[in-house]
Amino acid sequence: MPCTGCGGPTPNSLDQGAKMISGLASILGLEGEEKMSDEDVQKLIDQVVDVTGTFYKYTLPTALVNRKVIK
Amino acid sequence: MKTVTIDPITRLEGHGKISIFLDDKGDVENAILQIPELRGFERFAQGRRAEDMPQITSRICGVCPVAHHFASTKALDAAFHVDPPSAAKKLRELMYMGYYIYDHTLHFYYLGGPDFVVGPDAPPAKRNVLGVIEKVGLDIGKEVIKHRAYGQRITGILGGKATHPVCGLPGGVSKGLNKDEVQDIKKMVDSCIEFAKFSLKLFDDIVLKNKTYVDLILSDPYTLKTYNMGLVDKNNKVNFYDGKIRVTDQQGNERVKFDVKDYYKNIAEHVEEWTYIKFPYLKAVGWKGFQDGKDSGIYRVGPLGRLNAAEGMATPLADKEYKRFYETLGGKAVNSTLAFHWARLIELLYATERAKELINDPEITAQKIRNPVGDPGEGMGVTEAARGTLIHHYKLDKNGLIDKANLIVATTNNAGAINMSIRDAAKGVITKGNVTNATLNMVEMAFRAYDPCFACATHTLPGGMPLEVNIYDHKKKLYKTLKQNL
Repeated sequence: MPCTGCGGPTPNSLDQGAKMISGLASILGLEGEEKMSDEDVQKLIDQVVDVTGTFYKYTLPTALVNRKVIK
Repeated sequence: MKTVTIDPITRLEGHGKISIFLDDKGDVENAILQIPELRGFERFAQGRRAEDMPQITSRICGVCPVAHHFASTKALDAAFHVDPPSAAKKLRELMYMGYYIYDHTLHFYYLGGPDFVVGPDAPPAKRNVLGVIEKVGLDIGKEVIKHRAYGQRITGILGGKATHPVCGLPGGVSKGLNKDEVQDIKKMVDSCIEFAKFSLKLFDDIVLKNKTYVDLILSDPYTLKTYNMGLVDKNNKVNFYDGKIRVTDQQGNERVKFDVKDYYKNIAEHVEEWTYIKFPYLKAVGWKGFQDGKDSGIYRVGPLGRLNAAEGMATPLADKEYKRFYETLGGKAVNSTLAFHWARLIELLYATERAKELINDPEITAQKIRNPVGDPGEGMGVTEAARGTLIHHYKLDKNGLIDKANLIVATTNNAGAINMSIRDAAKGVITKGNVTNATLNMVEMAFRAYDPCFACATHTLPGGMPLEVNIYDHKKKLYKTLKQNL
């Protein structure tokens, strides 16, 4: 049974889901990225099902993504 | 018309509100139980990963998370087309027995039992577990707390944690047992068997040897002749974890027996505009309003429903008690609502005996505890929650995410019967507008016997619940207000 991170967000992560998306963006396609069509990129991204549920599974309450800017 | 409102009702899991309508003479014309909150799990399960469902749905309830956990896991077994190894099934069932030990102990000693042990008309400050301890003694009180904790510990060892366990996976479980854990559980189970026997003796001494209580149990206001439903094994004996759903009539004869996959062919749900709870009924009989008898499709689940729907218990001591139960209360089916309490203790004994059988099974330490899953599809799972038959039904998409979820929760099955029970009890104990705390508690006893779990998450501390009862005259003007702890 894989670790799903039920201990909550790590201390150095302000928004764990955003970090994961950033991490994926850095490695997606890697070297051949510029040669890929939009459809190919979409196919790669579609491999991640349930983005919010997976990356924010235990961290959504403390994430930035559900905050509002009060002016 | 005057209205008496009990809001919130106490010593149950969740929230509810009873409204009693009096006629001009002050007698009860009708009474209803409203569940004023909506949880919405079926909706927000959509789009979630299927394998998360045993964790998510166990949050429906802090008291019976194990029931939701395994109803969900079993639905996933079916949805992923996998049959768990025999050892995994035994581990799940053993954990389930731990859950029954703590849940039934909780209800008898903390929630429902105080009505009998300290008495239905005792002051509210005494009608709780502390009142029970005062009556039976501190040493016995310690035993109660200890054995409830044993149930929790057994569940925790097998489930990863006692409340909201994490062990159930489609195709098996995530964790087996080592030899030290087996020894630990064996000791606890032996002690729990003695505790269950003691609890039955306590019920004998305090309730069955008291003619007033026996008369109350057998009295008309607390009698309801509905159908009964419960899971049974291949010999028609009570089973909490697996089997077929059996329905018997008011005389204990089999009406229908079906697999969970056919539940929607047999059960339909009626909706009333004044409550969020739905009212399931037997499709073949039909919805005839809030009435009992063979022409009304309303049925009961939970300890009494299970005992009535079966032909015995699968372990020797519990089976002996089962026979004594029917001999004492006049044969099958027992339709006395307050007999739920006795039935619950017989089930407690069964759970402890079955736990002993399972922990002594050599296969319980087997290494093969999970089978690989197949492609996602549709699946249904059923277990007997402590308070009744519980069904989870999921439809998965090609990615293994939940497309649709339907849950028929134990207390929902009892909703129709609970409504009738509180109405009949109110009619029986309130006359000429005579409303006191004691009479209102007698009305609450009618639902408390079912061990209902309305919101399946919120808990109330016995005896300390703020309560306000508003009585209205026939012009809906406030006539009188009774308050406690406000």
